[in-house]
Order: sequence, then structure tokens, then C-alpha cells
Amino acid sequence: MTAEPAVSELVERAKSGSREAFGRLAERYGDLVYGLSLRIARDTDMAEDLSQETFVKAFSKLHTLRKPESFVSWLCSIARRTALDHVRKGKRELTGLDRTLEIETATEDDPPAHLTGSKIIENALMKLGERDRELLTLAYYEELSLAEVGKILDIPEGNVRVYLYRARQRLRKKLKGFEDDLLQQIG
Amino acid sequence: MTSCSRSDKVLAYLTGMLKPEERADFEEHLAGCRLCQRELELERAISGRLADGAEAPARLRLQVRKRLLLAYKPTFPWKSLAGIAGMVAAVALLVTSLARLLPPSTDRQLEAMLRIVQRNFASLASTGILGSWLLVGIALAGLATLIARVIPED
Ligand SMILES: [Zn+2]
Repeated sequence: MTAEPAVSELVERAKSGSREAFGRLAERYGDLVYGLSLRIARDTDMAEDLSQETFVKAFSKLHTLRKPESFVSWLCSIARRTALDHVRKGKRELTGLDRTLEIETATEDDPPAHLTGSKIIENALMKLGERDRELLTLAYYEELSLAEVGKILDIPEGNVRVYLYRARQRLRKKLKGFEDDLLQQIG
Repeated sequence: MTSCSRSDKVLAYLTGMLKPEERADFEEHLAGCRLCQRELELERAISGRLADGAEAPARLRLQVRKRLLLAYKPTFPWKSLAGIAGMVAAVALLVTSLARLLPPSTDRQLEAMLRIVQRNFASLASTGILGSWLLVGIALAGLATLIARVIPED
């Protein structure tokens, strides 16, 4: 197996026009961009479209990226902008109708035994506010520092940890009743 | 007992929100409290799930590639390629027009080769990219033919 080229190397190659290199970046960060889009738009089909849109935009704007090492946070900013623009536009069109949740929602009277851990988390996330959803998506992505997350979300660096703590508190509340399922599915 | 009054500290502990003395104090409590241990285990499981993130559909990568192909003209250096192709075309035309002046006894292989060059040139020209270079090529070739006519044959 040959080693995967470094991100900054791929970015440099993509910058000089290599779609092959950019394709690799899209592959590498596909889950991240899709996850962020999904958690902002709360619609799986839409998240797919928005992810495509994000990568196409990123490729066309790549020449404006000065530091290749900040590619990931730069890409997240584009994904976020793209998804938020869509959501805002959609809200105007749908006048408050929350178009959601291909992801099935479970309630307390609905026995959640069949839900997988990731689905339980996904459902709980979808019940949180937009800022919390974004924060909880980005803060746990290992390639992003909390400072970078703060920059992407316009949260002062010193406050990111507190915001995260509060978001986790709210998430924990939405997970009431699912404790055993979550604990059973680890390890 | 089903709850501990201090289990709300678990998340603060996990996210690094406790001051050093609070932290030490809580760790001491944690060591002896099954409920807080369980809560910590749960919060760690949640962190793990969050770190797993969402999984994009496998087709996304392909869709992105397709979109990039559709949305952008290749950044391939077409201009310099056109320049080179133009020169090749000019030379090809020059050679073919010279070949027409050659007596019929000329080597058949050369003729066949020239025909191939001519054919390739025609297909290149049909792509339309080389329009301007084609004109240059024709002009050059015409000039060459003229010169060839002027130069007396041996
Ligand atoms: Zn306790």
C-alpha cells in the first residue's frame, strides 16, 4: 500500500488544476461535508445535493485559499454557508414548514429498541438548535481544533468550550430514555 | 438509589470545564460512585458516536467528479497545445504539399504515411479548436508550395 498523500500536497495539486487530486480530497472529506450539510439541512437528499454544491464551489474557489493546511476549515465554511443559504431560502419558500426527517423520530412511548446508537444520536441531534447541531458536528471531527471550529462558526475562541459543554447538556437531555441502548452498543 | 446529585458534574468533568480543585474533588467522588461512573461511560459513548459522524452515500464521490467535469472547462493548457498542434499541422501541410510535387516514383510508404498525417490533421481540424492555427498552417503551406514551384527541380 502506498501512503495517502498529505492533504496540503493534494491541495497544491488541485490548485494547479488536478481534478484527480481534488477528487481525493472530496473522497476524504465527503463524510464531513455531508454530515455538516445533513445537520444543517436535516434532509438526506438535500444534504447530498448540498455536498456536491460545496465541492464544486470549493474547486472553483481553490485559488483563493492561501494556506493549504487550513483547507479543512475553509471547506467547512463553504459547506456551512451553502447549507445555511439553502435553509434560509427554504424557510422563506415553505413559510416555517419544517421539512424534515427522513430520519425516523422515536418518542418515549415508542420503544426504541430497534434503533442503532448512531441513529439515536442522529435523532437527538435533529431536535437541537442549529448552532448546537453545527458545533457538535465539527467539534468532534479530529482534524479540527476548537479554535478552528470557533472560527468556522463565528464563536470567540475562548467561548467554544463553554458552548460545547452547553450543547452537550442539551443533547444529553434529548437522550433521556436511551441510556441503556447507548451503553449496550459500545465495546 | 437511581440518581446521584453530582452526576451533572460528569459532563463538566469530561469537557474540561472544572477547575483543578473541583476536578480533583470530583475524581475522588467518581472513584466511589457507580452512578457517576455509568454516566461518564455514557457521555464517553456519546462522544464516540459524535466523532463517528455521518456517513455520506458512496455515490457522492462519483457525483462530485461528474459535476466537476460538467461545470469546468479543463484547466489543461489548451493554448500551448493549440500552438504545438498548429505548428505540427503547418509542417504536415507543408510536407503533403511538397509530396504532391514529388514524382510518382516516390516511395509508397512515405505516401501512405503522409496520408495518415493528412487524415489526422483533418480530424484535429474538425474539433474546431485549431481554427486559427489551421489558417496559419494553410498560409504557410501555400507559401511553401509557391517556393517549391519557384525552385527549379534538379
Ligand atoms: Zn455520583
